[in-house]
Amino acid sequence: MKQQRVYIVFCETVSPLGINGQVLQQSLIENYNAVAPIKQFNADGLAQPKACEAHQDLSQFLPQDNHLWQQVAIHDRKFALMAAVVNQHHQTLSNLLSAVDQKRTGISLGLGTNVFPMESIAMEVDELSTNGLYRTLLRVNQPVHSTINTIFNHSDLYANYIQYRLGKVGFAKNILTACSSSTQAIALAAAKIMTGSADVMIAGGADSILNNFAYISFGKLGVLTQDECRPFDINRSGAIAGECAGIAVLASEAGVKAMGVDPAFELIGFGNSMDAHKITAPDPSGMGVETAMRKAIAMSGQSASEINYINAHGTGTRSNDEVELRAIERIVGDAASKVAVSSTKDRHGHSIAAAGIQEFHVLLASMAKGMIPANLNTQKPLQTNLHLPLKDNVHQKIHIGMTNNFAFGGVNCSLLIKNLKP
Amino acid sequence: MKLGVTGIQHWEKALGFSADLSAFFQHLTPNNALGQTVLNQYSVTFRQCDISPEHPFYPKASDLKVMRDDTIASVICAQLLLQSAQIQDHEKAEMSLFFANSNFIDNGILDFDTIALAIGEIQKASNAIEKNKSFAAEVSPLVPLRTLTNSTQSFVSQYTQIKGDSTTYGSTCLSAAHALDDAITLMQLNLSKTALLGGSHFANVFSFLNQYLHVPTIDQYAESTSASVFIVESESQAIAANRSVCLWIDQLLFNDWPESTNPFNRVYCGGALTRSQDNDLVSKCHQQTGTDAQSFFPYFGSLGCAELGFLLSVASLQLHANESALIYLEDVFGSFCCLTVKKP
Repeated sequence: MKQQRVYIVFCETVSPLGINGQVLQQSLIENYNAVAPIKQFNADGLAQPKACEAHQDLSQFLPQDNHLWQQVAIHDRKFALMAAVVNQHHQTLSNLLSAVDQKRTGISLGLGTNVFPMESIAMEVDELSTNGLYRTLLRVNQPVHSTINTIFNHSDLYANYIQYRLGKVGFAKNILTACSSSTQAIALAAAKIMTGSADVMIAGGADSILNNFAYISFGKLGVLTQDECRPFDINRSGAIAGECAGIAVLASEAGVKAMGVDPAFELIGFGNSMDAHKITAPDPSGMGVETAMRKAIAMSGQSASEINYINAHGTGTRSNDEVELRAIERIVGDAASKVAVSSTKDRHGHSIAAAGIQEFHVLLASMAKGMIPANLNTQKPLQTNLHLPLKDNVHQKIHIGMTNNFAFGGVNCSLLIKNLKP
Repeated sequence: MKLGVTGIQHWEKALGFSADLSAFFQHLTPNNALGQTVLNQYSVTFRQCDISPEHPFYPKASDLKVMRDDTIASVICAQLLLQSAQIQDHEKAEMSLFFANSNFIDNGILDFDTIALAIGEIQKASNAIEKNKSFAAEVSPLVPLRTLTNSTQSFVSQYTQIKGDSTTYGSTCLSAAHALDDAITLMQLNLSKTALLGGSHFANVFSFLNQYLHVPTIDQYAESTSASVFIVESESQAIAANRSVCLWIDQLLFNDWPESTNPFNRVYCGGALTRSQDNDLVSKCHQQTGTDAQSFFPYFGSLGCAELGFLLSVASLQLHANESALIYLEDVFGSFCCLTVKKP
């Protein structure tokens, strides 16, 4: 079987760094830091009342044609973010998809857990019992038989919405691997193109933990910092919460030709692995993380020393950063000083299941601009031979870039991108 | 590339852990779980978990507090299957693991009385600080781990030491077919030779709440907590490892019917949540193929993401040499897949 090449013909996100790619690029250039007091719920009294939110008014991008979708957006922030991406770029996406046979298209989304909208429901409950709760759920949920369930959102809702707006695709799948969800969604979308079984794939994801229930639950894991997020810093103390939704369109050579586009990037490799260690912590040896990166490099046919920049998972947690840094060192070996590594989570937060599409977009924007984003908050970096740019972005052409994401439970995924117009 | 199924293992309360369904077909037991009334108006049936902690592959006590019941069933099924298939340690390091899950809120989390109490505390709070304190007091640190979407995949990996490509899919019966689709894709790319696939389902009110608006008529709604796992590998790998193929995988199509000139010897269907949905699926399959379709719904209700493994198991049991079967799965949104298999 001749492996097909995978081109990236479109990528857009709505994130704390911007409502679209243009704003994102400007935010990166200006070292904009999105950390601010949480607005989506009152975080008074919480150990960390700050996070990174998409601060734009999303209501302008919400569907106007169906009030049920609007209801979903009220209860489910990640749906609101995804709808904002789809509706902002509706025309472009429609044009791209209409150029190819629908049967040879697919959707691959990485999604976070659906969260019971506890606070909204709590305000509606009139009798504190199981029956009282049931009555409220029936009242608040919409009593119609449709693909829209306004409170308990099925994972399929997001792909269904994309198809509702852009037309049917051949198949749609949901990847649910926590922080590596949308990275894997992109990787597995690429795999379908590589085998020749699809010409165009919509890949991406959405997540937000910025509601009371999810934020407090996540905080209980002890991974959120009460200070600044400082990836790769000796004094790092945790991640800062974020949110994002995004879509990339991947295409085969035939897809690119049919769409009449001139792609700037190619996805040349991906690697997945499992730690098989513990659900609560990564394997301290970093073997799983290293394997994912090695697999991506092996698939690409490039050598590790040819990678110019790695957008690291770099959560700023004690358990992740050193393991990731040492694994990168082992992979690049003597070329360490030439390989730049940074985590941009200090400026846009950790968007959990959407971290993959968010950082994929950051990587593409950095490659397009010829700029390596700095580790903004890192003051005392871990000892390493790798190039960790601090404070100021580095202006440098990026021919080959990598992005990593690793999830709770030890699911690791790396993507390798080639700049076709460096 | 020729791909085959070289082992299957499943669990459901009426069956226990089993590698084939022959005993089940001797004593067909309809889903006899007691009906419950939920949302004050719907009569539903959930058959839940009952696994002996004495099982030799039962997980460690330290892990149990963050494991859903269907995760426990999956972990045991996976270990039993790898043992019976004599998968070697060096194979596990590169083996793929693709799992599908339907419901991440089990009864350890979903206690409506406790939620009602928590809501009472929230309502009583006079300001945001008090409200947040109430929330924090009610939320156990185990909640995010117990509801982790890739928990089953990760625990299966931890207990089996499978370390290759690995993903969790959700959250309908079709997700297990997507897992199979990606396993096939990675084998075509020579990234994997052997894959452990599976799915599990936790049947409870939360699952119902996720589905009920999508079901036209809620009559005889039924689900069973369940798990199934199976091994898929290339013909050359099966021969090299001396494992016999119980079914060849012929074709997997999404939202399309196969253009087969020969009638299928058997047709199996799944995905229904209610009796009337099941009747519709059976008659749709008959119309499309001309063959009477079999469904597990009367015995189990919905098996969610575990359904595919059960249907492969019955196909393996009932097909004779060189016979073929169509496995049809349809989700609540009307998306479907057609998997055609052949007995060696």
